[in-house]
Amino acid sequence: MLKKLVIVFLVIVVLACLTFIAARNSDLKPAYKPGKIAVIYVDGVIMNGRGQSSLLGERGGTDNIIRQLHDALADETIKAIVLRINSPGGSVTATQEVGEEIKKVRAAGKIVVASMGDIAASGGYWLAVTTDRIYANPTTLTGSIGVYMPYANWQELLQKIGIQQEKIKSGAHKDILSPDRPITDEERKMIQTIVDQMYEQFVDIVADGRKMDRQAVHQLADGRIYTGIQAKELGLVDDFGNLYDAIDGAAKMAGIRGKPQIKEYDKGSPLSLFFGANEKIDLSMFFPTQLRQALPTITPLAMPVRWGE
Amino acid sequence: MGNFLDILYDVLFHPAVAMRTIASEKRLGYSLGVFLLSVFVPAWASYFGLQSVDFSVVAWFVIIGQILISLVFWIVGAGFFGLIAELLGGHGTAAGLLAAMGFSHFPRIFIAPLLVFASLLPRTVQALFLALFVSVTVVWTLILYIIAIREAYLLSTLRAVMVLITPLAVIFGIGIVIVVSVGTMLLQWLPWL
Repeated sequence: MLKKLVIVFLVIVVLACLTFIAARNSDLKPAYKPGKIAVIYVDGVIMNGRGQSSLLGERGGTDNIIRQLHDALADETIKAIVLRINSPGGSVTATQEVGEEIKKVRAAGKIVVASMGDIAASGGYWLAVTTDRIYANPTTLTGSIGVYMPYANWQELLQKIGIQQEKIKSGAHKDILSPDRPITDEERKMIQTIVDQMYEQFVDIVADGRKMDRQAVHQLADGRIYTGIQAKELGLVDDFGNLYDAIDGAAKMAGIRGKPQIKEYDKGSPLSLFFGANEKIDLSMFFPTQLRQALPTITPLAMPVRWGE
Repeated sequence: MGNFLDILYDVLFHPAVAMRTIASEKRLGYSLGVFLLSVFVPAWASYFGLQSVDFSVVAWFVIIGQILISLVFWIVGAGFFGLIAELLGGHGTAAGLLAAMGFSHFPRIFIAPLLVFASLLPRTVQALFLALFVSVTVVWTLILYIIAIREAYLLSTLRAVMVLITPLAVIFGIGIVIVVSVGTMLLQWLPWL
């Protein structure tokens, strides 16, 4: 009889505890939930495309970054986004696409803050100026406000190895920037006009984002790079700080009380080393070799020329 | 029912007698009931614990995962332990061991009262209290495992311990090999600067 009583008592205690846990949980659910801050990474060269796919997701490519921004915009729990930029720039159009998505996020009332890593130059800076606030490190390389369109003339080389390429074209300029013939003066002017037009758009973006006079931006925007210290003196960045300073700043701007929850997008995992071997490795590792070859030769680029050559 | 409650009492206070009875009578139905109860109670507590820290989606995965993994571990474990016990000279049946091992999970139901008690303590000692008493529960369960193996296969305590640790030692060894291999592979990426 004693045995039964002990077990019955035990069962009652356990049931009471389970009820207590359930009831306490419903009572303690906080009325105020601190908002989340999304961290989205812009690593390496900014190029259109879907990036690399693996079993563990997709990485790289602006389609992926835009989708992450879109997801963060749709997620009501996310109050602010920190854009962690570590990029020398890239394609103008790809950069512009991401920049426009950032504007949509801001227009929806969410705070977007940029945190610069080693480098946030050219296209990387373009993205930064579309945000509400820019954090850089004193040694960050930034600036490089400008556009160029790379072109290589391989005509002599092709002749030397006996390749003569011929084209039947619909118009005189259909093969403009083709590497097997020199560019004409007329074509040079056409390309210069395109580059200038894109450059002016870049200047507009900077002037608008930094609340600066266009003329003042023009003076800074000769393509040179600046350190974080120089950039702050010139008004190109707002504050010094690392990623967590940017997160704190974003939380403050978004009115998040207490410690914000962080939701990292596109975070690499140790397993990704196996399932997507090279996706976690920084693109700069490939830059002088594979990636440089992958750059389309006639895409207008917003990145320092030295990296693109 | 009365007999069932007596067995539960004996599992807590006279485990050797209880395990011998359970293994010889092969009470698989009772064993399954105790097992499910012992897994469900801490899973229920985990579910509400995770919900309170805003992990509602994860909570369901945790509760279902906990039940499924425990169920697989119970059944497969009984098979492995039975095989090893026979290799070490034991005499018994896998069904008897399975039944006894099901009852070995019973101390896990104390996790719910522990969580309640911990919630009443100051925050500074909560983690320490839980770590300590959850460890006690785990050790208690392992001791019941050993007694279950010993009584189901009529082995000495030392051999029953060997039965329990052999698969764990093999898994640990494989883990070490994997960690060393992965470490060696990752080291190739380190030289930077």
